[in-house]
Amino acid sequence: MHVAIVEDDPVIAKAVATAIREAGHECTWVPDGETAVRQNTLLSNDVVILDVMLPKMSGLEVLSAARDAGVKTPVILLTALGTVTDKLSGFRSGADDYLVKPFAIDELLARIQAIHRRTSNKPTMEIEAGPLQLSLATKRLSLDGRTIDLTPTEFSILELLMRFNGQVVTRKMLCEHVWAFDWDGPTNVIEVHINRLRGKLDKEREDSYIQTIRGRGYALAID
Amino acid sequence: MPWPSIDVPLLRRIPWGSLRVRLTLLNSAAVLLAMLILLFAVRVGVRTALFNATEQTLLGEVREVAMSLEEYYPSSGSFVASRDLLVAELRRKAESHRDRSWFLQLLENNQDGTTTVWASDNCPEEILTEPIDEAVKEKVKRAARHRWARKLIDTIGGQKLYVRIGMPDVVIEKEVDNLTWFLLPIGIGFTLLTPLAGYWLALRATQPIAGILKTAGKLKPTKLGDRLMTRGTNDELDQLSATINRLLDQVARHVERQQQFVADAAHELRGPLAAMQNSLEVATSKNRSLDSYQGTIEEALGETRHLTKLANDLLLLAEVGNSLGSVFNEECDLGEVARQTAAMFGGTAEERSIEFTIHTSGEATVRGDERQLRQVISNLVDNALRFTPDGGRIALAVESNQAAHEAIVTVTDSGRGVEPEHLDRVFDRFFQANAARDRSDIKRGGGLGLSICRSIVERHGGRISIDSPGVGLGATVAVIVPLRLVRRKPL
Repeated sequence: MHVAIVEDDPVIAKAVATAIREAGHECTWVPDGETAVRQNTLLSNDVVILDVMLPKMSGLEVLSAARDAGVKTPVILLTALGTVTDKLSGFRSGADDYLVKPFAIDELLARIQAIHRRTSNKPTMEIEAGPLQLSLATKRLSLDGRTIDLTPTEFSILELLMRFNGQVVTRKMLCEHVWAFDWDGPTNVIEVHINRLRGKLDKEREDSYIQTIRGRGYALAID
Repeated sequence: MPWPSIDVPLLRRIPWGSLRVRLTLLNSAAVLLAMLILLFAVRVGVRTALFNATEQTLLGEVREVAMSLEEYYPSSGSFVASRDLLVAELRRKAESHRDRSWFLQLLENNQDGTTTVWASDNCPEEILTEPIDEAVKEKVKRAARHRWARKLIDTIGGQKLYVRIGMPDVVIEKEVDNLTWFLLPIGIGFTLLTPLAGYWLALRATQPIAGILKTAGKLKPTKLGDRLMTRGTNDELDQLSATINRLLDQVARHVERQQQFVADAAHELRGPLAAMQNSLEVATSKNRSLDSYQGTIEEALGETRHLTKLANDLLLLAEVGNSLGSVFNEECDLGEVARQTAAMFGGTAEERSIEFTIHTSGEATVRGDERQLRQVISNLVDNALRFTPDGGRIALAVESNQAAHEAIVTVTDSGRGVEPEHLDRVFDRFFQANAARDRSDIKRGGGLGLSICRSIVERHGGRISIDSPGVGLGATVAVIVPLRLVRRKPL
C-alpha cells in the first residue's frame, strides 16, 4: 500500500513515515499543502494522511480541491483541534477519518488499514487468525474446531484484535469498539476482559495469544 | 433651500449628551408647560367668575330699582311724579358707578313702540334702541361687547315701564388684563428659575454617578480591590453601587480562581515535562545499555500519555466552558447512559469483588450531549472505583422527580469518603485531597475529572453535589439535571 503523509512538522512526519514503512507499506512525506496539490499526492496514493494546519494552504483546502476534482482516495485528517465542530467541518470537507493530535501511532496504523480495507474489500462475515475462527454472523468463536463461549464484550474485543492481527490495538480503540465511548480515564476497564479471554483461549498453552504491550495496548500475534 | 446653520460657541460648549443637561432640560420643559397651563386656566376661570358676578350684580340693581318705584308710587301719589323720582335715583346711580362705566336707561313701551324716558349719556346707541321682548319680565342680555340686565318695573294703563342697567365688557377685560400683568412677571421669574433649580437638582442626583464613574474608571483586571462607596440611603443609586460591587466581588473571585488554575495547570504540566527532560538528559549523557535506553523511553512515553490526558481534559473544560448557554437539540436517556456505563465498569468491579448495583426508575430523559453526560457518569463511577477498597460497594441510581422536573443520578460508594473541610473543594480544578505525588498511582487521576463533571452538568442547566458522612464512610455524588420538556396533550 502506498501511503502519503502531508505534514509540516518533520518530527511527526518522520515518526509516522517510519512506523508505516515498518508496518510493510511505502510512505512518502509531503511537507506542505501546495506541494501536495502540485504533485497530485491524493491521486497517486492509496491512503493519504493530511494535517489540517499546514503553511500556505490548509489541509481542508487541499482535501476540498481534490474532492471537487473527483479524487476518492481515502483521507485521514490529523489535527490539534478536537472539538465536535472541528470534526464536523473535517468530515464535510470529505475526510474519511479524523485523528486528534497527540495520537497513538498504533491507532493511526490501525485506521490506515481499516480505511484501506473498507474502500477496497467487501466486508467479511468470518475472521480467521491461525486456529481461531470468528463468525460475525453467528457470534461464535471456534478454536481448532472447538466452540468457545464468549460474553458479548469478550467477543467484541477479540473481533478487533483479530481484525488487526499482528498489530497493536490501543485501549482507547477497544473502548470505542466495544462500548462506543473513548474512555481514557485512570481505570483500565479492558484488562479484566482480556484476562478472561486469555483464560478461555490459552488453556493448553504456556504463552498467551494476546500480548500486553506495555503502555501501548494489546496485540494478537498469530501467524 | 438648506437651513442656515446657527453656530453659537456657548451652545457648542454645553455637553448636550450629559445626563445632567438632559435632566435639566426635561425638568424645565415640564415645569414650564405646567405653569403655562395653570396660568391660562386661572385667567379663564377668573374671567368667567367676574362676568358671572357682574351679571348677578346688574340683575340685583334692576330689582332694587323696581322695588324703589313701588316705594315712591304710594308716597308721591302720581305716576309721573314717582317716575321723576325714579329718574333722579337712576341719575345718582349712574353718577356713583361712572368709574365702572355703568349705563342706565328707563323706557316705556306701549302699542306705538318703545320710547326712552331717560338714559345716562354713556348708554350705547344700539342698546338704547334694542327692542324689548315683552314675554320676559326680567333678563340678562349680552350684545355688542356689553352686558345688561332689564326688568319690567310697572304697568300703568297699558304703559309698560322698564329699566336697563348694564356695563361694557371692556371693564372686566381690563381687570383680567391687570391680573395677567400681575401673573406674568411671576411666570417669567419661574421660567428663569426652573432651569437653574433643575440643574441644581440634576447635579445633586448625578453626583453619586460621577463617583461611580471615577471609581470604576480606576479598576483594572489586575487591580480589582476598589469598591464603590454606598451612602446607606438604599436608594436606586445605592442599589446600583451595591450590585456593581457584588459583580466586582464575583469577577475578582473568578480572576483569582483563573490565576490559581493557570498556576496549577503549569505545575501539572511541569511535572511530566521535568521527568521526561531529566530522564532523557541522563540517558543521553553517556553510553548505556540497550535495556537502560528502553526503560527510559518507556518512562518518557508514560509521561507523554499523562500530558495527553491533561491536554485533553483542559480542552474539554474549555470547550464545555465556551459553549455555556448554548441550546441542545438532542435528547439523552440518562437511564440508558447509566446502563452503558455500568456495562463498561462492571467487569472491573466484579474482578475486585466490589458489589456494583445499578438502579433506574422513571423516565429520565434530558436535553443534552450524550457523550458529555456519559463522561460525567463514567468519571463518577471511575472515581468511586478508585477510592473503594476491594470487596466494597458502589451503587449507581437514576431517578426522576416529575414534580420538580428533574433527573437525579447518584453514585454512592463505601470508599475512603471526604473530609468535611474538603467537601466544597472537591469540584475545584486540580483539587486532590492527600494526593499521591506518583503520577502512575491509580488513585491519582488527572485532577480535573470532577471539575469536568461540574462544568458539563452546569452546561446542562443542572447542579452537582457531594456528601460524605466522614472519612472511611464512603461518599455520595448527586447530579441533578432538568428533565426535557414534554409538550402536554391538550385536555
